[in-house]
Amino acid sequence: MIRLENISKSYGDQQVISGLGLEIPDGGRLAIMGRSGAGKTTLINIIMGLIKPDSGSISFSERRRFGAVFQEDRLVEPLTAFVNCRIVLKKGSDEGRIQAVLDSLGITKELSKKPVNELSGGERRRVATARMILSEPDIFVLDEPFKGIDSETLPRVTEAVSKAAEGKTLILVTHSPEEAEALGCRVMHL
Amino acid sequence: MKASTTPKADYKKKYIYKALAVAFWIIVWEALARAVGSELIICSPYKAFRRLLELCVTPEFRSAVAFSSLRILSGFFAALLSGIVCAVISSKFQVVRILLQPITSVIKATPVASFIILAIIWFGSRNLSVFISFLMVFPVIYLNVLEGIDHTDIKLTEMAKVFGISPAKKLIYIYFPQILPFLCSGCSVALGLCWKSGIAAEVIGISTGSVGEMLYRAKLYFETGDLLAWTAVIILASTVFEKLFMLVLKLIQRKIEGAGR
Repeated sequence: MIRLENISKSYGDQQVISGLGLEIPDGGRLAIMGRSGAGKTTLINIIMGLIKPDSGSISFSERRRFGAVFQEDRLVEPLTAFVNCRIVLKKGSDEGRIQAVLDSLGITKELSKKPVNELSGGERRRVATARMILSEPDIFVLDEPFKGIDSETLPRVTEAVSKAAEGKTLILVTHSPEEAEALGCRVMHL
Repeated sequence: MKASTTPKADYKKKYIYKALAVAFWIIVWEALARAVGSELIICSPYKAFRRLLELCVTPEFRSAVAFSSLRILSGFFAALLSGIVCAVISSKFQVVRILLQPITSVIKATPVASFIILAIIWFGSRNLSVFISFLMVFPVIYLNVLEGIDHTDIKLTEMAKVFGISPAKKLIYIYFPQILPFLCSGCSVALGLCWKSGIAAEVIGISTGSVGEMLYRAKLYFETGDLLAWTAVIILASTVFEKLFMLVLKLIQRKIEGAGR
């Protein structure tokens, strides 16, 4: 269970989140929707511990190893797609899994050998998704994860994420009700 | 119609141009030597080259090159290591950064000769070049690596935090690729500096058995051929080491980035 109590956050004079309370049960799936600037990314950054709220508390009842697809890909530029994925592998994990997961997202062996700055926006997004899956997190956090992915590839990416997150907690930030539905998320509007 | 060229052809062309530029300046040197007409003032490139070949086979040559290389490169590697360590500490602790700032500024602004004379008084002349090359290299490496650390992308550091990436992996895969371009540029400058300052220290300190001492002797007896031959040796040693060192850095970079896996 992730429990947020009375969370508030402002940037200067601008109040982004005010007195927010939220509970996400273990294995629950939540989609956070809302207009741009509503504080969706701020909220997930607070949950991941990247931003401190001005007030309120956050508690976790389960182990909290996060895996994320950030709004920006946050891939290490000069490294290849393969190495970007390898750095998040747990100690003793089978490296053979890396290409298997990349393949499942349509990133071929040839593409995975390329530095990520030579990949297209959609390909980079899929590498970031593969990295999240390979990190085997307890909590999946996805911030507009399917931005830039073509409609042909989208179903396989959604399916791969959904399968990897089976039984795990998943938090999705999106503008698309279809994406929330495809991942079986309860929707919360900010 | 404009002919297109391949990268290989461009590469070849670049080397031909470089060789032609070198040939041009050797011709200028030869012309100058003939115009002056005195070997005491300037000897011809042929004579300098012949003297270089003669020197190469002497045991004195090998021991002088080994003596100077060992000391200058010891100073370089000590400065490389301490420059990196100090930059990492400075990036974490503002007080260390503030404390080191005047030291690096003073080292950069002070004439190397002042340090050489002071170091002779403090340490004598035998290991003078170790200290001087260390002193000249340290601020370059320290400031470049510190700038590299300051330029690391905070978003990648946050990513590493979220994924719980170990400190060792963070260092190798997140920090190193971002700092490496700064380190390479620092090393390229520092490698030239350490040879120049190290040899200058040996000349002023007359370190027995060093390349600097050979240069000093050449100056003393007006042996311009020897002077130019030893200068060529220094340039060669400096260039070869710089190329080798940068190649090693490049190989490490390729290994980390996973290119051609």
